[in-house]
Amino acid sequence: MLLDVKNLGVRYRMDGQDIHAVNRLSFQLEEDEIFGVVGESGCGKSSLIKALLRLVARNGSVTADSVNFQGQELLEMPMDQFRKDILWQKIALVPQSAMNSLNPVYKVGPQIVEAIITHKKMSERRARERVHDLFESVGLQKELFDSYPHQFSGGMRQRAMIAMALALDPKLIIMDEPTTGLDVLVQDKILKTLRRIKEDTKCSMMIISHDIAIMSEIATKIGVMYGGGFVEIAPTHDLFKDPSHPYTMGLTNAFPSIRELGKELISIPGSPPVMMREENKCWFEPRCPFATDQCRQSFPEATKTGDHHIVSCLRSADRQKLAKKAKEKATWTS
Amino acid sequence: MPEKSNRLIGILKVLHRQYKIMTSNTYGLIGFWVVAFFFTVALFAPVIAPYPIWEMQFDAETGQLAMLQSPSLQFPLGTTHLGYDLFSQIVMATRTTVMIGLISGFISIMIGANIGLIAGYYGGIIDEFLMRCTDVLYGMPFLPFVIILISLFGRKIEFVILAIALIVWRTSARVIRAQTISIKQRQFVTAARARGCSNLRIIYRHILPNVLPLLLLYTSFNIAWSIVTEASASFLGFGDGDTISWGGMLYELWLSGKTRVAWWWFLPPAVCIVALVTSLVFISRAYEEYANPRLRETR
Amino acid sequence: MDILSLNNISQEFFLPRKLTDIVTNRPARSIRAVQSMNLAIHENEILGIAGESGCGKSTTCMIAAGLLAPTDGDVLHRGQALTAMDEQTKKTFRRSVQIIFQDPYESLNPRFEIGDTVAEGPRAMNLWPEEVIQEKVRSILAAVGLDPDRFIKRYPHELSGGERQRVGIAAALVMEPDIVFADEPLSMLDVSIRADILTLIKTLAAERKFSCVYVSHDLSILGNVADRIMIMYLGQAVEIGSAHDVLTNPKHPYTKALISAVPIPDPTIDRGVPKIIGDLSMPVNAHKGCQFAPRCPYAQDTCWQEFKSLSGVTGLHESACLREDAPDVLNEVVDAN
Repeated sequence: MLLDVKNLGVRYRMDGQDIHAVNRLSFQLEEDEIFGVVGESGCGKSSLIKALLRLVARNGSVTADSVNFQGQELLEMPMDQFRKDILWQKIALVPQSAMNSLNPVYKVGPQIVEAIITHKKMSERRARERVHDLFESVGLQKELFDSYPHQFSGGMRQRAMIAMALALDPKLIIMDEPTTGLDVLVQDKILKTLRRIKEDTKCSMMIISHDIAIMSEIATKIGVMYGGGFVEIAPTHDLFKDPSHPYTMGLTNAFPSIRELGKELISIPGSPPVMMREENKCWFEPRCPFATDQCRQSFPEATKTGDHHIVSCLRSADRQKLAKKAKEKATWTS
Repeated sequence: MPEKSNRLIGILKVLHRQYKIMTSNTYGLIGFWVVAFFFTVALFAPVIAPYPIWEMQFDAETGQLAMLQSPSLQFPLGTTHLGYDLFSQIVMATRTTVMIGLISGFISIMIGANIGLIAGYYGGIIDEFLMRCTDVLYGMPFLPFVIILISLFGRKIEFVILAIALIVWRTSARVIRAQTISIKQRQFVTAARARGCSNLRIIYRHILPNVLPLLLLYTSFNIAWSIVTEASASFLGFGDGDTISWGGMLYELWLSGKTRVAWWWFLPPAVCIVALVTSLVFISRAYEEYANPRLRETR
Repeated sequence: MDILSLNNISQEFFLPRKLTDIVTNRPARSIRAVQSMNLAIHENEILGIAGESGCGKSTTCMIAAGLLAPTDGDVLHRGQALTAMDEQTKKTFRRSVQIIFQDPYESLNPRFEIGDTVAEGPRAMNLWPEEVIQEKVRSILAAVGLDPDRFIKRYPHELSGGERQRVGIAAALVMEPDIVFADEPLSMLDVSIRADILTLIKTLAAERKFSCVYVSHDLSILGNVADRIMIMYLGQAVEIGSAHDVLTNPKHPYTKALISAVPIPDPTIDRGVPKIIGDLSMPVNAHKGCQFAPRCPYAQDTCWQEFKSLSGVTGLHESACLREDAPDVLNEVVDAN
């Protein structure tokens, strides 16, 4: 086990009100996995990243029963030790806006060299060699070492950020929307690069995205977030073959596929919840066509429906019946 | 009738909102009440002032001319070397100063806002021309410009106001132009264009409301600057000879040659200038935070 | 008759000359955003324009909507050239051609109430008396699924992204246009509500009988909404045809590569790997032939010299590829992996 998160919560205090961004969130991550986190804006996926990397702003607080990374409790570690030993060394982040994450006045290669030297005892020559290797492994030409960020295209910057994240051989790389804003051909190449890096380095990845189609191609396991927690976690094939949470079913309906031109797209009615307090009910209930009285009265605990398939839905026993119904438009509109 | 009261409620709502913005931080709150105090004094000045300002006063006890008296019950702020009551003078001067500040502040923001909006929106040659005019104004030394204008037109209050307004607008024009350019590029302006809005309609209906916070900021700033300018000009003897202002009081003091002796003559106008100008700047800071909320976070 | 047609449209943006250019007397460099484009948009059709960023799809839209004057060529609205219109016709044009913008957070004036945003167009153009405008605003808000009583007095910041985009649609449709340009209207919205907006545009287009030009980089969405699709690459239209033809039987190597790069939300399908050389190049004074040639595995000498512009006539499936044997070669564009 690489990472074991139990009952994570993140709340922010804003203008005198509490916003619960992450609620009762639990998941486990094995080694050599690509874990795709799918969710819409406001589902808490950015707060999840911030909590794991301990980057939550001062007006936020993080609670958890346990955030165990390779036997170490991340949240209990002193901050400077966490920064020194974990951040970037073991868990690296590729932030969403690769555009703004590189310093525009420094050349890209030396920038990464500099970052390595300040973090690790390494001669400059060796660090340079390391960066040259990294450039090669993320598919950047060596000549680009001495270029400035503005000379890079969007895809190249994303590659540079991935190279930066890989620099210290982390065990886990967290990527926030790695292909958002990139063109489809570039996206295709980046995904391929990620897959190859995983093969080469055997590191685990956690990829956050709103795009199920990308996840279906790259992730080995997918977690669907709603209302600040995971409503369903399953190996990729199982999730698509046997979607067990109504929200997952709704998402697959809403997604167009180039292979099904005539497919009628169905939206999920309503909008995501604003979580002002912890409530003892299912967060998806107001939008769920299958909700019962019970869904309004108790929080759906995570239950196993398969070997690695975890669902937080009180009606998960009926999932096959519901999945069939969910394919009909009338189910969602009435 | 309900139409009318609705409008009244609307205006009250707007005023309440402005009050909320101004007093959103402690300095703004202080600024607001100090400014309110001076405005009230200005409004009721003739009622408050106990004596006519250009009338020699006599000591109630001795019956002699009250020459250069320090503060007493009869003359709360003392008298000048000619026996004029300083309290009355400062009250009446408040009226003059506030009026000059308000009028030239508003004229200058009108000029500045329009030039900034037009230059920023149209760009090209119009922008080039208007901005070079502004640059020329920047090249002009501030006080000599005002002094020359006043000596050309005469020492009348209208011309003092005009001279000040003509120089104070320059900064607001530049800032509003910059803001206009950034707003012009936003999609809702393209949207307005696509829906058939004319240029003037876009400028005054779509862009103006979006530069309003900045406009209010510079209004209070321009008022402050106008007051400072007026004080400087009057101190140098270029104020209106018929009325009195804070700067004019200091000028009289200077002429009398009693600066080292008469602290009661020198202190009140100086304190008033500093207090009012600082308060206006406090208010403009509150608007600045409102216009640019990021300033609040970094504090 | 065609509602709107583009005749041989070209658009060049000139870059500012650097000091060194002036010294060496080099001519100003330019970016060719659109090159010799022909396109006809019919009554009641939804035309999709697809391509990667920088391919000129948004520029084409701006030109067609009359917001940008092309360097060369004519835009005709119902047979009348834009440049030759009198004031009255121009007004009609301005009203008949409307735009739904990409970013609902940016395209609504933050200081306007929703009712005023929607009413702004008719008011600015003096289309109807104020009572009629009010009535039309209410009815169009209802048509896009926003309860007029609840929304008319609200401000954009009080609305969700989906609601804002509905307001954007209402503001365009209240003008009763005959053609609407939609530039990536879904890209800023959450996945679960995209389908609703897409369906809304489709049904309103059918009910109110306007044509729609839908610009997007997402072929999956275009496949769902468009009747016809045009694919662009660096300012050139490379392929056009019915959505079904283009997506299932692409004729141009670029189209083929593009389609095979689209992720499919089904892990059981292996879409293969698009075969394409290098990265997108900047179109600064590029060679005069097919812009895709540098990345095309099958480029011949002629490809660098010539460029075939499409006719854009409805019903035809056309490709700008110069290779006669393209259909056979194309099968290799995607490796079986």
